[in-house]
This record gives sequence, structure tokens and C-alpha cells, in this order.
Amino acid sequence: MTITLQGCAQCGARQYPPRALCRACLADALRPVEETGEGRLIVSAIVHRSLEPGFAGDLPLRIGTVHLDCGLRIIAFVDAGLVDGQSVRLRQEAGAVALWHAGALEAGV
Amino acid sequence: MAVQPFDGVAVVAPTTVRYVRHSDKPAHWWVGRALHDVIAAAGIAKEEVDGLALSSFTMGPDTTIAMTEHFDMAPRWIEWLPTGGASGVMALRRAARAVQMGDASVVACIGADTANPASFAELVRNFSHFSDSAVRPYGAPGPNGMFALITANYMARFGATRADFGAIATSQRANAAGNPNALLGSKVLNLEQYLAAPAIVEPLHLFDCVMPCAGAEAFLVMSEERARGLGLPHAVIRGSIERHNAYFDEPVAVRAGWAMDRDSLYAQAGVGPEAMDCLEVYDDYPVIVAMQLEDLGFCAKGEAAQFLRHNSLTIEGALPVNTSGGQLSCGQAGAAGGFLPVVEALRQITGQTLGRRVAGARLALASGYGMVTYDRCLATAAAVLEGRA
Repeated sequence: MTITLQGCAQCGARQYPPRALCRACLADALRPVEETGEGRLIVSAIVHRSLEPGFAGDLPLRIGTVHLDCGLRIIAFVDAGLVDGQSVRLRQEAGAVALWHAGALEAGV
Repeated sequence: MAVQPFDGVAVVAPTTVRYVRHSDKPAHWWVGRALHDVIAAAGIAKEEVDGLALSSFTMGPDTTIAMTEHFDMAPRWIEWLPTGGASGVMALRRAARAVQMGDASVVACIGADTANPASFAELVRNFSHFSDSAVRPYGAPGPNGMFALITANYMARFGATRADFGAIATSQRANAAGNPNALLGSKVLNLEQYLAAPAIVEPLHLFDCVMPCAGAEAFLVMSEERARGLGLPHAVIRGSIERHNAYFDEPVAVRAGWAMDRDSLYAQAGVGPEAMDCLEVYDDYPVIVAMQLEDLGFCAKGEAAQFLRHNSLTIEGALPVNTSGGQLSCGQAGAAGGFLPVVEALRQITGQTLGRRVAGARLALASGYGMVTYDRCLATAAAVLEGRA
């Protein structure tokens, strides 16, 4: 299972969050690229208070910073049972906004 | 080319428009009040102000130019600084250069914001494209979420504990006693209370987070000659730095731009951190105070916790930090929070404090940190100021 990120056809850079041009070489040559989604959960935190009432029913939520093997960092929801520092795999939940979830490596989707 | 000195420039008239938790007045009122008060403090007429540098989050869609019309001004130099926590030092730097070059004679530098129960959430919602697309969907934690991650990472990596951050929050609260502008200044905060506070985004709890409020901070920049002529106690700029998006490849921020530029800061100043009588740093969260202690050279990277276990940050201590109580005790009046370090440094070294003064303070370091557009603040700036009677 792979994830889709924004990549540059000219210099090969990957980027997240998406940008209008390549962050490294500024080329107008962005295209979707497939990556493994493997990386490390650097750190996580537990959201008890949201700024928006719409999230009240979902709290508490665990979020974290995943450092992908390709060098990008992504803020994601973190599956229960994961430990900060462990290897994880990101998966993308389809929707109007594609949400990232960090899960155990073997879990896949 | 080396950084040119800020010779001949004076900073005067530290001004604070008293903070309130909520205000039904627009940001324009807070800007105008600050302008009214800062020229009154200097004893000059509005017409003498020919430069205007502003920072505000709640003035939209207006910027500095609209304020000239609001308040019948015809300045020959304006600046708009949408850089929040770094905007005070940035305004100082730009105004100083304008005065040195003759582009302006008297620059009013103002950070001002209003606040109502809905304004903070709205501000966060419209803060940046990245935060809207890549942070908000994750429970809309706001800056609390990103700084919880920075704090947790710092604790795991360097062995800091909640009690270490509590030492920052409680010492700043002690410093706030006697400052009538500190909205929380009359509320005692001890370590037990700090540790027992409700969780916001773990590991952050209530007293790690600033309370949004309305308020304004301001100062004037003019020539030293003019400040002396007006008989104003003033400060000179011994050195100053600024950096944006430093270390952007670090997966979680453990340092920021000060680390890149502090050698330049102290080389300009001709003194090191040990010479500072007080340190006024940006305190959106205690971990950022710790980061500034390290990145500005008061201790090595990762050693702020040890430093805090052996050094008090109170006004009576060896290194007084955030002598007004900081935003953690005064409240965060939007962009005025980015002016607070400069204004409080100026108060301390010119003997014009609202609360208690560090005895004999002459040299102060003011530092700013602003704009969490994704998972860290991007803007850093700092200045060494020296008081002149």
C-alpha cells in the first residue's frame, strides 16, 4: 500500500503540505508521486480541547508528527497502542480533505 | 558586509494600553489609544510622527495605510508587520534604519489587537493555508497542538519535566505581582497548582497556555539627539538580529533562528549574554522560553531544565526573565504580545516599569518569535538594548 504525495518532475523533491510550485527548485513541474508511507512517529500529543465545537464529540484525539523515510513530516492521527519513536506506516483516509493516520507497520490497509 | 551599527537611534516612551479579557472595541481603537498614549508620554504632537509601523491580527482588512486616514496623519514612511510574536523587534529594527537614513524622524511602533470570545478561534481558522489544510482537520487544536508536540519532543529528547516548565510559569507569575497590567498578576500560581491544572493538549496544561485578550503596546523610535532634546529617558540599540524559517528540515523544532544569529547579536553588542541585566523573551509556551535560554546562549542546547533547576528567573534572581510576568501572566493581546518584550525591556532599563524593577538594570535582551503557519513559528528576532538616563 502506498501513499500519494506531491513531487517535482524536475528535481525529484517531495513536499507536504502541497505547494503551488516546487519548494526546492521552484519548477512548475509538480505531479503526484507514490511513496511507501513508512516513517517514524517522532512524537505525539493528546488533544483534550479543540478550538472548534464540531470536534467536541471526538475528544480526546491523539495526533502526532510522522517523519517519513522520504524526509517529509506530516501531522497525522495516531492509532491507539503506538509508542512515540516507533516505526509506522501512514495511510490516507479518502474524503474532501484526505486525512492522514499513522498505524503500525504490519497493519497496512 | 557586516551588519551596520544602530548608532544615533533612540527608543523612547514605553507605552501599554491596559489589557482587558474581552473588548467590544475594534482593533482600530487599540491602535489609536496606543498612538495617543505614546505621543503623550514623549510630549510630542501627532504631526511630529512621520513614520508608522503597525502590527495587528484583528484590524483586517485594514493595514497601516488605513490607519493614516483614520487618524489624520500624513507620514512619509509606513510599515506593516503581519508577523505576530516577532513583530515588535522587527518594527524596532526597521524604524531604526528609517531614522538612521533620514526616511523618517519619529516612528511610532504599535502592536494592538482586540479580542472577543470568538475572535481567537477565528484568527486560528484563517491563519495560514498550511495550518488550514494540514493541522485544522486534526481536531482543530490550534497552536496548542503544535506546541504540545514541540514540548513533548523536547521533554523526551532532553529529559525536561513538567516541573521544569512549571518553574518558568510560576516565576513569571511571581514577577507579575505588582504589575497592574497583568490580567493574572493577582492570582498566585505555585508548582502544585501548575501541575494539577487541566490538560489542554497533553503534555500542555492550562498554565502552559496564554490567555487571549485585548490590548496594545507601543514605543517611539527617533534620533538620540531628539530624545535628549526632549529630555526623555531612552535606550540605544546595541545589536539586533532577525531570521525566518531557520532549520526548516528539522522534523520537530528543537531550536529556532536565534541559534543561527546569536554570535552576530553579541558581536554587534560587544557583550555576551552574561552581561544582560534582564531577559525579555517571547513566552507563548514555557518550552519556547527554554528554547530561547539555549538559543540565545544562556545555556547549552538541551540544558535549560538543568539551568532552571539552579537559577531563578524571578526579578530578585541572577537572571530575571519576563519581568512583567510575560504573556503567561499578562495575557496575550495578539500582536501586542510581540511588542511586550521590547516595551518591558525599555521600561526596565529606563526606570519606567509598571511593576517592579530589576535594581540598576541597564542592559536588556528582547526577543521575539512568531507565526506558527504549520508546526512551528517561523520568525525569530532579538535586540540588545541599553538604557541611557
